[in-house]
Amino acid sequence: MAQRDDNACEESLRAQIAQLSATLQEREATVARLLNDNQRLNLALAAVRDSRWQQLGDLLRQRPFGMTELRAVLRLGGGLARTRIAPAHGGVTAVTNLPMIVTPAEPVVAPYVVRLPQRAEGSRRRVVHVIANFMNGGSSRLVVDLVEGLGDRYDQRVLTSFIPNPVAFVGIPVKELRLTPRGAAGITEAGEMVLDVHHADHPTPKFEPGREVSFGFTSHYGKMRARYGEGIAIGCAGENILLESDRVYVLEDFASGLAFRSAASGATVRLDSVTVADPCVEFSRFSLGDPGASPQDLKPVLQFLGDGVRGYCFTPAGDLRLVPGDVLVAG
Amino acid sequence: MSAPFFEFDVVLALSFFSTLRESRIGAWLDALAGFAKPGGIFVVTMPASAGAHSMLREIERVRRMKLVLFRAAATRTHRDLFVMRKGS
Repeated sequence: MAQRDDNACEESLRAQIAQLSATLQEREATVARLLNDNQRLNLALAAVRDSRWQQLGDLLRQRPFGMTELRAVLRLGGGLARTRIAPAHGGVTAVTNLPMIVTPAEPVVAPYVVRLPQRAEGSRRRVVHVIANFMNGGSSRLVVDLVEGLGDRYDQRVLTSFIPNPVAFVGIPVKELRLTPRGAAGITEAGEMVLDVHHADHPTPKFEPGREVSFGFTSHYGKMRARYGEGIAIGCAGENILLESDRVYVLEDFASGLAFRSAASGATVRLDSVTVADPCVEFSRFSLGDPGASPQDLKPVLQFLGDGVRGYCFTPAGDLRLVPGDVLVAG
Repeated sequence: MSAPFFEFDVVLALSFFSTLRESRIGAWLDALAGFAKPGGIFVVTMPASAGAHSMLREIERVRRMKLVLFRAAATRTHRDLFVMRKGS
């Protein structure tokens, strides 16, 4: 009797689970459909909003209505007329050279010191803010607000292609890199220039013509890690520039003319006269994981690393600001 | 071992793409996608006046990122929101 009751109970539970599962699937399908509808409606909204008629309507509703608005109305109206009369010209819109309005320079003010909140216990999620410049604009202020408001819970960094001088904010890690023919320099969040030890202006005698700037590839680190283990952390060789890449580069690749290109400005610096960054004995010992390795033990390591695996050096032919996101291109 | 190179949980590019020439948007999207760790989130806002369609087209071309949310601003003076997730 008890066995029969158990079976009935189990069957009833199974039926309920099946019903709940079906309901869940139905609800998920509804959510997916609503999300799709939402996306479709958003696209339709964007299309209407971006139409010239809508723009024209928005402009005509503006008060006060000045010369700038009048010019925009003429441009949009002209564009509409052209579209109707000569559709073959498509979206090409002639824009006259309007005089540039120059606003008076802002008075120099002391940089704002960002108030970093107390860091919470445990690991924090990593967030990177990508902004065009770290000046006093709305984007920079928003980043500062986020750092001040959520800095306890999130590890936040800033990537930018321009830090003004004097700086607008201090206290946030900001990444920017400048290359000149004299070597590489990093710019700190306080706007100070930190010279690489191989820079021609650095007080230590490590400067060597032709070896001002060094660069390496993540793919080369993959090769080193495959051989010497996970202890070879990416970037541990201390190169100035680390390029994310799937392929391994040999010296001959640079003979065909490669260049660093700033994604923001499009400016390039050709990689002329690239040479192999010779591995030092210390780095070879570190790779081997044996601080007391003999010269005989080191010989194959030096050969392996010396083939461009450790990286390359060059002298920049001009000034360039590099930030993460810039690329290596055919020059 | 140190944290993996460039692997962020969240990449926020608020009003960044509107500062670029349209021809550069694809390259930057691709490059910034490289900063996100697998499963990471990439958030972009752009002034609605910049037009959403070119951005949506470029997002489609960056295969390692999938658009999970697009919210159009109601007016051209506000900002469109694009949220992408990097494949695992």
